[in-house]
Amino acid sequence: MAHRSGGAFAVKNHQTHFEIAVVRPKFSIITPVFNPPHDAFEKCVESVYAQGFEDWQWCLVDDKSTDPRVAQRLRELQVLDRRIVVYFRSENGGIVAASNDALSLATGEFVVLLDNDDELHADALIEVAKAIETDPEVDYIYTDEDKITVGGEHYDEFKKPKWSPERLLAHNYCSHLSVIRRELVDNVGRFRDGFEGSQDYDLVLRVIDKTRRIIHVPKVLYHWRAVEGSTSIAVNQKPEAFVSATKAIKEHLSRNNIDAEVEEVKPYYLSRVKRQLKQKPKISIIIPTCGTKKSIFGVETCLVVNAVESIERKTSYKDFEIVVVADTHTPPEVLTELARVSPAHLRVVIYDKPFNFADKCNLGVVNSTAPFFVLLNDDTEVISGDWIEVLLGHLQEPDVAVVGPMLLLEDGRIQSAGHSHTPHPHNFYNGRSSKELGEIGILKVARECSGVTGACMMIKRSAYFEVGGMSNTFPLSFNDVDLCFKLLDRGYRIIWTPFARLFHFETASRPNVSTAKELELITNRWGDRIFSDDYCRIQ
Amino acid sequence: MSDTSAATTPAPDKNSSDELSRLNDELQAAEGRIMQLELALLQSRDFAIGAAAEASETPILRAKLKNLIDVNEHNKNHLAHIARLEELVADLLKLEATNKALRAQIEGLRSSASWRIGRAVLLPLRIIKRILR
Repeated sequence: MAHRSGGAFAVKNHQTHFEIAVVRPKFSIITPVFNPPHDAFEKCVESVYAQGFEDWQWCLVDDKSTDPRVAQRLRELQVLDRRIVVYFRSENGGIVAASNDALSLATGEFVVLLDNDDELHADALIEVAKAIETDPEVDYIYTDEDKITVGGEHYDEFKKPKWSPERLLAHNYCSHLSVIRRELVDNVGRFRDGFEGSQDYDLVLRVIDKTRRIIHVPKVLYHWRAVEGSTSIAVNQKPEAFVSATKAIKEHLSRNNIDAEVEEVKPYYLSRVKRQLKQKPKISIIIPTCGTKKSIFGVETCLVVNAVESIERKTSYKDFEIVVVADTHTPPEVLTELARVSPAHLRVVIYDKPFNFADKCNLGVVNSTAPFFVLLNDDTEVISGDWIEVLLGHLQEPDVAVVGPMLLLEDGRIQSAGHSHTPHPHNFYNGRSSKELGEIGILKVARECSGVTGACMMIKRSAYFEVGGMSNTFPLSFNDVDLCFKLLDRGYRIIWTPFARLFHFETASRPNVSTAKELELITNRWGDRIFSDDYCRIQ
Repeated sequence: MSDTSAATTPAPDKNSSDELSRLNDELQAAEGRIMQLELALLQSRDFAIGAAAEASETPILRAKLKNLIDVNEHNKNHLAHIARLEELVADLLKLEATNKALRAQIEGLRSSASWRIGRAVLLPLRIIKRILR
């Protein structure tokens, strides 16, 4: 049935720089076929034949196409190349049944999912093979993708993040190209009925229940054809696919014992996983201050009093303490006012050393008692009443150490949507409208990132102590960047969420300057990682 | 009995109050020490992790430095080569100028009356030479 092109060097001449290891993967390309546009299907065929890596098998299943040319062409292909295996269904069974029939034909070590009107990049299989060579135990590989018009024009390149399980709960960002170990696909029960339109999403969510050996290949290796009626043009072209996606997410959460509701982020067809709190532990909110005053919304305001007052007035979470770390020169009337606005929750700690933001935070932390704490600048103001519940929800995951909210400027524009290090450390989407969707919905979904700003971050106490807290080496800038790198290095995830919002009247309390010395120090510590970001590859 | 008891009551109260106060002070001092130790712990861990991160960056920096040295060496060689070429070009230009001057002298000689008379005198001799060849 299937043909294995012989020899260990089944690679075309232009790719001979790539030496194949002793254990060589063989790919089974899975393509259910139903009345594809003729030209698009021919392009799809061409793209498979153009593969530099030739050790593949192509499993095509005709789902009783009504266009007689389809069956004829498939028969031709089968005769033309022994690597092509075709099965003709006796009746139309839909994409799930056809895909599962194609899986039954597969003999390869990995299955490659390819739609009948899309194209593979010529290096797709060879790049995936290279990735497998770096980790032969890998179970799931996904790559970047773009879209392609009927005329062959490429657009909407999607530079995907490295493995981001939280983001995957918002939408199937992995999508194309997905390559999965066949044994695992069989093990989880292949594609399932009832998930039509999101059957591949459901499959991936079940696959990741079983493995975390996942690799992202940051190259565009799949071209998704934008044809009328396809979700490549817009998700709302197939609203039933979103219903299936929501069902798949709910089942994934249930399998993983995560008590959460799944809500739709309208009108974007994205999902929000709203975790229920298993416990409601005490939270410490640590606010370093020197009692600065500043005009906010046209009114001269004492920043720290405003921040504490907004916490008291808006926070729905009950069990919290506020630890204000005040410089010795903080005006006494500010401390009096603080005691007035927060009589039940406030503790004041006096900081009597020269200014060092990191040291002030650490002093606040050792004076706090809760297992989770928030580092909060005094030039902030709570917007979302449930901000603590939202942030804490993510910290219930054992490998999440830090969560940051959406921070807005006084005029409602974004101050920080997490950190990005492409091409240098900065607040992502700073100065842009908070109403924007962001690239592929990046501003509307909770997601993994390389860091969040120290202006507001909720942290697991144990993780903070594990990495030595904020580094006194960085008294003014980069202390948050450094802390996040230390946590990432320990294998923790950092989450940014748009569902908790605060104002950050940026640099109202101190000037936003970073010294050349601090930049040199952070670069010495973390090298080129400061200037590139696998979670956020867009600028 | 009750009188005696009433008379002796304040003494233990005062003692326990003093004891409580002393213990409270000790507790506060201990808490203060714990905080200092926690701060020291944070700093030590940060120092260790920071140093480890810097150490892992060292080979990369070394490689970069070596690369820069190589590039610098290459540039130096390149600049020396350019300097040599420039010297040669300057020599060539001098030679060209000399050559030009000599050519002008030759042209001057050829266009002189004595040269032309000499050529005319030697013309028969040149013809005979050509015939003999």
